[in-house]
Amino acid sequence: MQKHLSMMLAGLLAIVLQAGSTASAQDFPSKPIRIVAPFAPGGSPDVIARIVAEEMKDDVGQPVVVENRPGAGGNLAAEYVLRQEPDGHTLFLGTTGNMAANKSIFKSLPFDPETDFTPLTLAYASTNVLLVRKDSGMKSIQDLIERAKQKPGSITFGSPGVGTAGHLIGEVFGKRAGIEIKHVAYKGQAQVIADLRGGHIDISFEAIATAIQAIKSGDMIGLAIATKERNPKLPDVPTFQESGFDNFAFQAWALMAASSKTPPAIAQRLNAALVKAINSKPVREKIDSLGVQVGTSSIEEARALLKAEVALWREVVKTTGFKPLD
Amino acid sequence: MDLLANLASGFQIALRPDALLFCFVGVSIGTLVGLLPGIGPIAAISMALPLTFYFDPTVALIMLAGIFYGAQYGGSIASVLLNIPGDAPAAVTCLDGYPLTKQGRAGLALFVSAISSFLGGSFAILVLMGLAPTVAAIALKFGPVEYFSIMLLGLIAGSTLSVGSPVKGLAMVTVGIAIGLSGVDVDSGRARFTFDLALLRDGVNLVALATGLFGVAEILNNIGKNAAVTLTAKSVSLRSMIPSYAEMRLVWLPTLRGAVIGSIAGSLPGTGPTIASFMAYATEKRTAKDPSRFGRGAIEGVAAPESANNAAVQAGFIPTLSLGIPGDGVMAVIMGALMIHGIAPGPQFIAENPGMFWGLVASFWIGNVMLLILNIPLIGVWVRILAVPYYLLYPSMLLFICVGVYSINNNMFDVYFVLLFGVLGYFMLAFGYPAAPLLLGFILGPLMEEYLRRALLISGGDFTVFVLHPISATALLAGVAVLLIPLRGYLRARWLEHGTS
Repeated sequence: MQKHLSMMLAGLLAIVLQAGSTASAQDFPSKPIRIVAPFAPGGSPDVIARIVAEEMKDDVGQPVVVENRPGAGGNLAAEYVLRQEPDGHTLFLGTTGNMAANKSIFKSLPFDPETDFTPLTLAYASTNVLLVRKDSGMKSIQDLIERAKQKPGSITFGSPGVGTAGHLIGEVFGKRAGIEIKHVAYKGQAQVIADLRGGHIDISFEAIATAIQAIKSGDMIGLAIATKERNPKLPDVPTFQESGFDNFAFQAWALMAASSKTPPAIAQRLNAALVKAINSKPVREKIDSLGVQVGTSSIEEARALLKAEVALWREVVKTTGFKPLD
Repeated sequence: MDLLANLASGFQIALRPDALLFCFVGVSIGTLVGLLPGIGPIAAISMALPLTFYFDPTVALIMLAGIFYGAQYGGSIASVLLNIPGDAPAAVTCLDGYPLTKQGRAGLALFVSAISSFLGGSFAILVLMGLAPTVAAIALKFGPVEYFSIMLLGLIAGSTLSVGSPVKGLAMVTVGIAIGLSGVDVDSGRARFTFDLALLRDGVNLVALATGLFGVAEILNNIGKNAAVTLTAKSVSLRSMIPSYAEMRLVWLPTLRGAVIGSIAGSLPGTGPTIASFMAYATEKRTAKDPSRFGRGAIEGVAAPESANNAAVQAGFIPTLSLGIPGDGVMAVIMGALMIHGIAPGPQFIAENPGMFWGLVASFWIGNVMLLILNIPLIGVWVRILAVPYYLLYPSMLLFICVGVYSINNNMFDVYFVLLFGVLGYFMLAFGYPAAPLLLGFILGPLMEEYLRRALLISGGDFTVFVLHPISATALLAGVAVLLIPLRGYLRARWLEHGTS
C-alpha cells in the first residue's frame, strides 16, 4: 500500500512536472528576453547582438533587449546570467574569448563554459588578417620573417591585451615562424589600430572588417589571412597556408548561449527563433557589410564547435608557453 | 569652392524637418542628462541606441551626437549652481563656477559657460570641416612617447589646480594615482590592488569616483547647514547674465585658448573632454597674472574648461569619422550606431558617405545654436529643475546618481563605490583636502604609466626617445617652462630688491 502510494505520487509528480515544462515551453517567452553582452556597448559583437535582437522580437512576441555587463574578461556577465532563473529569458553572448580561450588563459574560471552553458546557435564568424603599413616595405610574410631574423626583437606586434586572441595568435605566429617578435599590449583594439597606422608598432592581427577598410584606404597591406581559404572580399591577400604555415586558421566567432539548466524545449525554441532572425535578409545584409560571416547552427553543432575551440585554445596556450592569469 | 558646396549639401540634409526635430531632441536630452549628476551621455546614448533602428542613419547619428555635445552644456549648470558636476568634464567648472554663484553672480557664470561652450565647439567644427584628414594624420603621429610627455605636462600644470596648501594638493594627486592603479596591469595582464575581487579587475569607475567625490560629498556636506545659496527660478535673470565689457575682455582669450586645447585633446584618440578641461583650466591658472583669483570665482576658470570640453567633443569626431578610431566609450557607442545600419566606420567613411558626414557637420552648427538658445534665454527652464527645496533636491540627486552610475556597467558595485567616495570626499572637504587634484591623478597617473611602459617597451628601454621625438621634446620643454613660471616672479622680486639696495 505504502509502496503503491509513493509510486502513485511519483507518477503524479512526473505528470505535473512534464505538464509544467511543456506549459512553460508553450508560454515561452512570457516576458522580455535579455541578451547579456559582456562588453561595453559599441563593439562588433554588441552591435550584431542588437541587430539580431531587433529582428527576433516579432517572432517571439516579446521585446528582446541587449544588456551590457562588461568586466573581468566576460566573467562578470557569465556569472550574472548563470545566477538568473534558467527559464530561457536571459541569454549570454559568448565569444571566442569568454567561451573558449579563457578556460586555458585563466588559472580558474568561476564557471565552465561547456557544462554550465547550452550553446543555442553560432551567430557569426570572423577572421584575422595580419596587417602592416604600406610604407613598411614588407610585402609578404617572407619579408617580415627575413626582417625579424636580421634584427631579432625589432618587430613589434600590438594586441588588445594580454591573453586576448590577438596576443596569442601573434605568439603562435612567432613560434611557428621561428622569429622573435615583441608583444605590445593595449587596452582595446582601437588603440592598436591607431598605433599601427601611426607607425609606432609594426604588425597586428586585425579583424577582417577593420582590415578591409584599412586595405581599401590604400595605406595598409594584408600580409596573410588566418583562414583555410582566401576571402572573396580580400582576394589578393594570401592565406597563411599558402605562405607555408599549415593549419594556421583562427576564427573569431560569437554564439548565443543559455544556462544549461534551461528546459530543452525552450532551448530548441530559442534556437529556432535565433536561427531564423540571424538568417533573415536584413540581418544578413547588415552583418555582411560589416565584414563578418553569418553562420547559424543547431545546438549540437554549436556544442561540437565549442568543444573543438576549447581544445584549440588549450593547444595554443600550450604552444606559446603562456602563463595562465589569476 | 568644395568646402562651401559640401557644407551647403550638408545643410540640405540637416535642415530637413526630421533631422531638425531629432537634432533638437538630442541636444535637449543631452542638456538634461548633462545636468543630472551620474547620468551621463554614455548611458543616454546606449538607451537611445535601439530607437535608431527606425531612423535614417544620418538622422540617428545627428541625434546621438546631439546628446553627446548637449551634455557638455548641461554638465556645467549643476556645477555652477550646486557645486555638483553633471559629469566628469564639468568637475573643473565647479572650482570657479560655484564661488561665482556664492557671490550672486550665477547668471554671469552660466552665460559665460554657454558662450564659451559655443565658441569652443564652433572652433572645433571649423577644424573638423576644413582639416579633418590632415588633423587625423597628425594625430596618428602621437604615439606612446608623445602621449606620455603630454600627460606629464598635464600633471605638472594641473598639480596646483586647487586653492590652499600645495602639500595637500600634491598628496591628493598621489592618492588619485594610487586609486587609479587598481585593476589589471595592461602590460602583464596581472591584477594589482584588486584584493582578489573580480569586480575590481577593470579598476575603479571614473564616473563613480567623480560623482562620489564631488556630488555626494557636497550633498553630505550640506546636511544640517543653511544652504549657501538659495536657488529660485528668478535667481538667474537674463539681465544678470550679460557680462560687462571688462568681463568680456577677461574671457575671450581664455575661451580661445580653451578651444585650441580642446580641439587638440579631442583630435587625439588617447585624450578626451575631461583631460581637455583640466588642461585648459591649468593653463589659465598658470599663465594668469594673479593665480590666487582662481578657485575664488575667476570667470576665466569657467570660460576655459567649458570651451575646451565642448571643443574636445566636437573634435572627437575627427578620429572617429576619418579613421574609425573612437577616442572614448561614448564615441564607440556612436560608431556602434553606424554599424547597426551596416555602415563600417573606417578611413573610407567620409569618401563613401559624404552626405552623412556633411549632414552631421551641418547639424553640429544647428545643434550648437539650439543649445545657445536653450542655455541663455531659456536657462530658467533648467534652473527651475534645480530650484526645488533642498530636502527634495538632494534625495532626488542621490537617486539620479545611483541610477546613473548603475546604468554604466549594470553593476551595483559601482554604486557602492559612489558611497565610499562620497564619504571620503566629505572628510576631504572637512579637512581641506581638494578633490580636483585627486581626480586629475586618477585620470592621468595610470595613463602615464601605461604610455611610459609602452614607449620603453617599444624603444627597448631607451629613455632618449622622449627627447629625440620632437613633439615629446616640445611637451617636456613646456613642462619645464610651467615649472619655472612661478620662479620668474620670485626672481624679478629678488632682482628689484637687489636693484634698489
